[in-house]
Amino acid sequence: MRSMRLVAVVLGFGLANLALLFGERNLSREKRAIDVRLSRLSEEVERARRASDRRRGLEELVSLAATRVNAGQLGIAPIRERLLAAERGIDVERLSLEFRPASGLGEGVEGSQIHSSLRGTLLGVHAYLDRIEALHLPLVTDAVTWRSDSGRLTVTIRGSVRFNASTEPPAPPEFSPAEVEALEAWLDRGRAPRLGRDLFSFRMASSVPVPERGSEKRPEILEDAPEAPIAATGVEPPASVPAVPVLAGFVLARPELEPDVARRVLAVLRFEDQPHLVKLGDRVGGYVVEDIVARESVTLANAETGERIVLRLP
Amino acid sequence: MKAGIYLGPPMGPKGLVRTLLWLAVLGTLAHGAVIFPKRADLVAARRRLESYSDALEKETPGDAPREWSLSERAILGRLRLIADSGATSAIAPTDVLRLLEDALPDRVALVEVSFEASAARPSLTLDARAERAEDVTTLQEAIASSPLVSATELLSERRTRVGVLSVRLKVDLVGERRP
Repeated sequence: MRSMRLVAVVLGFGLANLALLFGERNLSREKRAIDVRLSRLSEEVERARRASDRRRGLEELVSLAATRVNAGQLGIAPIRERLLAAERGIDVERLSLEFRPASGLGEGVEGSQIHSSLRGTLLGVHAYLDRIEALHLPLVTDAVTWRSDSGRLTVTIRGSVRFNASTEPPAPPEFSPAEVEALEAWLDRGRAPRLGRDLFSFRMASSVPVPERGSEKRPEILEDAPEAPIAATGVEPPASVPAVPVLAGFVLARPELEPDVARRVLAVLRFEDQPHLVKLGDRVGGYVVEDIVARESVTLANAETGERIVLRLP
Repeated sequence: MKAGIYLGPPMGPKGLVRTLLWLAVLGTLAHGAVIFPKRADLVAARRRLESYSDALEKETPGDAPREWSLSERAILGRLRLIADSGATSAIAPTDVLRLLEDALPDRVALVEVSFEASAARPSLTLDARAERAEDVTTLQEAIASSPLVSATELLSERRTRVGVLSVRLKVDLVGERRP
């Protein structure tokens, strides 16, 4: 009887062992399945986290760009006007721009080569370049030459600009993390501090009082300058003797870039400290533009007396 | 004489059952020892699975990310143009003037500076006047110490009739132009 009980206990333990063996197998199977799911889920979570970080980074970039970039439509005319407006109020006496079409920029993208020439003081030219850089345009400089000539600088710049062919905003493009980082750094780049000396002269500029870096007053119109429309016509003449505008430069664009052929050669006249972009027939002060000879001269006629004045570049 | 190992008296049925009982008890204990940590692992894995599911839900909420507004799309389009133009990696002309201002000794004046940014490697060519030869060396050393500069080379040096040194210096800048 006792032996039978023992056998029953042994059998019971045997069955329990068998059950444990099966249980262990089930546990192992479930563990393997959970591990597979876990690794898949962790990849998904990581991917989702990266996508979410990218999106957050891009949103931050867009909000930063909104404060730095004027996202208005770009094209030859808006770029030309921004480049001209940046010249306002600084010591640049001559500015000429020439636009040539650029090709092979990709689908839906157009562009233009820009050849520009400036003449003025080093500080004036530096302030102009700084203003252009602060516009944060898709503009890249290919070559610049600064040449000193009897106390003035002549600067020639060759660069190119891109813009979208369509006026509709494109589908949101993709950006790699490296591009987002580079764009952020570029947008966050501070304004160039004013030069402390004339690099093209033996005489130290510090012999004249030089304001400390950061404390100097910048010339007026900075970020807002490009927004300000350039008056092309309709400037009222002064009450007394009409002041004569000064020829400041020319803007040339190939006809294929400028749908309005009549505007492909424009002159920049400075009148009452403001640049005016004019074409034939436009009126500046008391004068009407009668003739424009590209890169050379502009003939004005006094609207009242008919007296003609030929303006040449300084 | 028989040689061998003495194993005691032959095992009877009781002894066999007792041995089996011990084996069963030991087997159960061994199984228990294996299963217990496995079960604990499984419970932890289940918890981890739940937390991952929650995290995934949090990272990918039901609705798709907010659509970009029209003005944001315009900005994104502009940023694409800027990134493609290479403007972000280019050396700005004001950086060149800043480099020259930092490097130029008092007794050296520039005459002409050409900045070539479109070549595979951007470079500068400086034409300058100096009062003394040491100033030219100082200029060259100061320019070479800039982090923007990779190499400098004195292309020419001549004394003018008025006694001023006229030099031409080539400066290779760091960075490569994007195609």
